[in-house]
Amino acid sequence: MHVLIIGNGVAGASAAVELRKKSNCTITLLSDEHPYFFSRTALMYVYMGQLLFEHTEVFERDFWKKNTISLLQAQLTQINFKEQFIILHNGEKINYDKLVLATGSIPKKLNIDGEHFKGVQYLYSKQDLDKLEQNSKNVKEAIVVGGGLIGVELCEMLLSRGIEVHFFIKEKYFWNSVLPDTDASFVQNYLKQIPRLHLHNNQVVNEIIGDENGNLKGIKTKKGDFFSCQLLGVCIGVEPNISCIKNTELKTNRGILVNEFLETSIDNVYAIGDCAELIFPEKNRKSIEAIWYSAKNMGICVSSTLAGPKNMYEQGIWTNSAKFFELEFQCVGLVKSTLDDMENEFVWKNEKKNQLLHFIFEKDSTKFLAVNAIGLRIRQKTFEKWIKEETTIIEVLKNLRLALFDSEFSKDISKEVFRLFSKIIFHTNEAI
Amino acid sequence: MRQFNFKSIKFYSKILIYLGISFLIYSLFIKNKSLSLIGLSILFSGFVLYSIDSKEQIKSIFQISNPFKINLLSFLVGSIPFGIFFLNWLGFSLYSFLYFFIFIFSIFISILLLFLPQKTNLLYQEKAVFFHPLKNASFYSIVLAVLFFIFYIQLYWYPDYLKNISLLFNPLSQWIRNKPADQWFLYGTIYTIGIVYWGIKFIQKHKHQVYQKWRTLSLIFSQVVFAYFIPSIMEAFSLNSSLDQNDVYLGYFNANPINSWPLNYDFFSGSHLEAYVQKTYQPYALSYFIWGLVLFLVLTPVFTYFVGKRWYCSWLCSCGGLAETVGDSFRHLSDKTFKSWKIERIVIHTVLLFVSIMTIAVLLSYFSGKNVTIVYWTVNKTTVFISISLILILMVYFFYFLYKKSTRSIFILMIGLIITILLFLFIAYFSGNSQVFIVKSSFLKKSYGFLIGAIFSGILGVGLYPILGSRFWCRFGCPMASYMGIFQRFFSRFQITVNGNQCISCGNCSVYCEQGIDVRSYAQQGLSFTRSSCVGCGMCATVCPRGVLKLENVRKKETK
Repeated sequence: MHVLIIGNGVAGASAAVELRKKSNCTITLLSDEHPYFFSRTALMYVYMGQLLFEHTEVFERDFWKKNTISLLQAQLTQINFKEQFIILHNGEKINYDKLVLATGSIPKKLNIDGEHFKGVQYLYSKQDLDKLEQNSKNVKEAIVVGGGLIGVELCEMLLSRGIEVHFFIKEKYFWNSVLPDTDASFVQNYLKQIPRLHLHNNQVVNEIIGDENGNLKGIKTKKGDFFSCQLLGVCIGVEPNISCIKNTELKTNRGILVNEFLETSIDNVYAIGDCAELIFPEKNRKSIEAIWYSAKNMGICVSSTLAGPKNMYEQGIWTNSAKFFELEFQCVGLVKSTLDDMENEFVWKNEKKNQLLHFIFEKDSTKFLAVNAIGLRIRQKTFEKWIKEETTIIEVLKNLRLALFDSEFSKDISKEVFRLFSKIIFHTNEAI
Repeated sequence: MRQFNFKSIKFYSKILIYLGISFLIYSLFIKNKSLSLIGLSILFSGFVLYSIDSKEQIKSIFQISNPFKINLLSFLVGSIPFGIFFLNWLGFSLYSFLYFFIFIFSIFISILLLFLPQKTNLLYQEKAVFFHPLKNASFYSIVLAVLFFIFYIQLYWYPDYLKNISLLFNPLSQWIRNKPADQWFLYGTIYTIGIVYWGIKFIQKHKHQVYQKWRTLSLIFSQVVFAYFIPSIMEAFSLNSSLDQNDVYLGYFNANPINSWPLNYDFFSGSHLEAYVQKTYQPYALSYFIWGLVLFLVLTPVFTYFVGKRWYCSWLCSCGGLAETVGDSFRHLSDKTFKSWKIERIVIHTVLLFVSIMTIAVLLSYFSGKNVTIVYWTVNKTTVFISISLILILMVYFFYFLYKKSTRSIFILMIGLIITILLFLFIAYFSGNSQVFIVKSSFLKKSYGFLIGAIFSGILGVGLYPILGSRFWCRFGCPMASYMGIFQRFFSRFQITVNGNQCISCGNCSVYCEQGIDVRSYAQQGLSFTRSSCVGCGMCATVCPRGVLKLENVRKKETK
């Protein structure tokens, strides 16, 4: 059996590596970006001089040979689903028995005038990073559009090269579309303290202005203000990369539609990672989850299905992590940007030390639902256990010490958190 | 490799720089002041030319360093003692008390400048190690390594060349040791200054990391007090390395209380054994001997059981102290490949075997035909033989007990190691007096001292910092590390805990592991782990951008 995997990001590579553990079939990993699987999230550290590019390659290079997974760097031009083969850019034809689409995402465009100017760019692939290296030479001022994770990473990267950065955020606070107001404003206050970083909230870029040579000069906002810059980073999110299967019989919506077994509408074709769109997502979950962890889980899940028997993909308990400059963020369970009617919240924060814990629990049953941790490390497995076992918020806060993950000798804040919680209960007289 | 443009000034200025450096290195050997002056001026003109050509670059450096100007100032002040040191090394006589004062004072000021309030905590500059010419295993690192080599070779075999620098520290030596400075005092002093200076810099860099702060403070304290002051003060009070009324040398023992056998391979040597029972040194020398035995046999396994070998390697040890502070900038250079792990396991256990056999040979040949009375124990060859055998047999029993918890292959390795030592012990006991294993025991000791003590731990261990990373010796050579590593791997609560499946495989942990452990390979699978070579510096957890790793002491359930 020949399993062909298109895309060697975390979804594709995990699928290949896990499949090899379970089966002896022929595995081919195809990518046009780089022959070896590398950590996309680490690209920023390459630009900052903290890592070399080869360090982002997750396995030693002879790992792939040892595990007989063939790697192919080529561009895909056509997929023939009926006769089960693909055609590469150079005309080569490759047959497959099972096809896994792990094509990932492409960055969203602003869709306004002037996006073609030299100096306007996105940050997603290795090629984008190389382009950034070229574009950021002799740049004094840069503008980053988009108040999300890639945006703040790009800000940090550019600041590390001594570039003055203007960060344009559509919402009231940074990452407000995901974080509730308390957390988002907390992060926003932290970002305000970063020297040479200028935050512009509630601002939308309306027009990109360049000169006659095609070089970027600046941008104009909706309010009509002009900001000069030599580099414009557009980081307003990603969308599924389905260019290679456009105009085929494969059913798509925003992404490639898959069922709970990650099967597409065509037999022997699977889709995983950012490009896959679940037809029936679980309650409170999105149909497309373009994050590292989901992609990895999908890859592992599909490998079982490929080796047989069929394995159902479960989205499980939502978890995510990020880092805004030196501020770490972790969440277990879903903390929505606005509270449901059923939900109640409890926030503990230490402004001085930039620490915040945001707990969500059910109003009536006081069942613990989710937690956001900023500036603190938490044990994912412990919180997951508490969510699964439907532990009450009081029990969670009583045993909070067990779930903290900060390094040894760090101050134990669990008692402080519990004290604040009991104080609040006492004052509001809520029966919990 | 960078492309050279033959027409550019940069190319010629680089040639000038290289020429200047080679002149300087040459003049270090022949001790010719005028030659070194020529070298210095060539070097200087090279740098000037270089900066003319790369004006923009230099400008941008100053631009970047706008928030970092204080750091730059600290660097400039800190280079004054470097200059004094270097000029003395080249043969200039800059060793009067004034220079000594400037030397110490400018170090002090440089440290103080680091602590002035700053807008950022050196966020980006300190992180960009792969853009730094010295930290990136480039040509400049080789130059630095060669300078280290030369220093060590002169230190071990040609101390005359270091006379001027030694004289610089004469006031200090007179003050704390009551003796003129020699090259070893010089070495100890700059070693300590290095650990203190870069240690404080390290703390400043990681000031929000509590573990790193306490660990480095402990390293600094241990170096200053245990490794530097206690031995020096012992000498000042004629309790070590001193002469009696008739100017007869009374012998020397290493008075550093945490320098345990087998790292301190001289611990059981004849001259040291004699010094332990020397009357004038009592009761300190004998207590030191007993402390050393307890430290090696009891405390080391016990501490390692509770917290892993980090209590020694990255909290107390001098070698570790240098690696963690001075060598911090080179930690990312260690080799992470699977191949180097294989080599490491073979080499480090071989050194442990070597030091055990050497010590046995030295001990047995020292006690052959001799009865030595220590307080009220009379020790001879047979008692030594029996006690070592007993210890080894106890260890076999101990490891057999551990066997339930460990893997088979490693168990066999351990038993094999002990049985080999036992075998050598028997040969040594039943063979002749001084010639225990065909070769003389003194030859064995000398070759260990030369190969492992001088070349491996000194010249290669420190000299290769800029090329192979800071823990080259600790990883491949240190017998103490390998002894504790066995306990850590199979009988310890220490582990690196991986936080669920939060890893994003970015590779920071692996790159900044000085022991060359591929931490990422465990982290991305969500596997908590203990590796025998881990010294517990905690850097993997510190650099992890997603809070995935934590060093912990946990009671482990039996795993197999």
